Amino acid sequence: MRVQSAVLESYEEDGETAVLLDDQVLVLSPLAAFIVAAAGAGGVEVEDLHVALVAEFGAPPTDDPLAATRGAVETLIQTGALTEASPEPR
Amino acid sequence: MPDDHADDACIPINLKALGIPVRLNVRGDQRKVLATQLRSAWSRCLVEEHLAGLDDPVTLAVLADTDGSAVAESRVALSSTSLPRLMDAISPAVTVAAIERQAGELLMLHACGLADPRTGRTIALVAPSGTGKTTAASTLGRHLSYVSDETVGVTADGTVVAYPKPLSVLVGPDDTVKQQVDPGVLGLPVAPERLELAAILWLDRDPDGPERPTVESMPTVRAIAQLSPQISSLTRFETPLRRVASTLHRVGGLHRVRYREVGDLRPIVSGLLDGAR
Repeated sequence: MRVQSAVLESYEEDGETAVLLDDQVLVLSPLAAFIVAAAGAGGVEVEDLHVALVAEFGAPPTDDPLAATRGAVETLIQTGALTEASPEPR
Repeated sequence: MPDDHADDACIPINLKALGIPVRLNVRGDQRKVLATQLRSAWSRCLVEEHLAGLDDPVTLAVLADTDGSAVAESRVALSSTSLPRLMDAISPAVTVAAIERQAGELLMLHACGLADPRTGRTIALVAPSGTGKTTAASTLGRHLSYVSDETVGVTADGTVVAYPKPLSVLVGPDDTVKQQVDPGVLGLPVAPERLELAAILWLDRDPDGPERPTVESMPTVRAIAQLSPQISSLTRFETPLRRVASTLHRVGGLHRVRYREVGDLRPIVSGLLDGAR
């Protein structure tokens, strides 16, 4: 699955990040902010994202890293910070 | 409905709302009575006729008529046989028109604004609709200066643009129409000409809250998220979050107060206006 950011503006201060969506402002955790920034307007494959997340934050103590990444991505899609993107043409 | 012309059957009322000239063209067989009520309630926003045409006003047509069929057939949005209902409807219409014109220019907080009459330092008391802004204005404003009970407009350099509209008050417990009350009638002093935003205070009224009000400072990012639903036309700025952050930095951030009765806020408001952080 490929996802892209739906964030119009982000603002970081003292380790916290606010993001502006179409109709609301959300405060993101550092992990969520990393995912949204990594996705960007161009999009990212979730399979690639989980590698970057493990490099940045380490492996999750219990979950499989890819499953944990998918879970986080799903949550961000539900909140509107990410949208599903078309697969990158090969 | 826009209405760009006046005639003998029309009484123009010229207002300034959030710095924007707004002209009400009042027609109908009740126009004189309504015009008198408007001049009284909106006394702090009235503009002299000879100055009113200078700045491309927003014009709003108003029809006040005892003939119900004339009202029903008219295409005027602000029309009624009931003067109280018209007064109640005109207030948000003027506000919306001014907000629309200032979108992307002023940071417009959904807030009661009160100023120190000596210094012009202004506090914005932010609260969602129906949770205490007008009560705060009428209670705390007697010892300060009245800036607004609805919207506090702030420029990029921290200047506050006054909007001393009538206070919109539900008088009886079963009332559905808010009375529009001249701030002078409530004894609220006129604000100084130059106003500067000094503090932003989030009102969190809780009848079961602490006996003495408690105040906390919110980190900038959380403050932006807290305030954003109470900012009009936020997304019309080029970089909305940075604009809010810049305003927060200028005034020492967002403070949030939990309180039982609005009168308990007096020392907190005074402290913030005096510069105590």
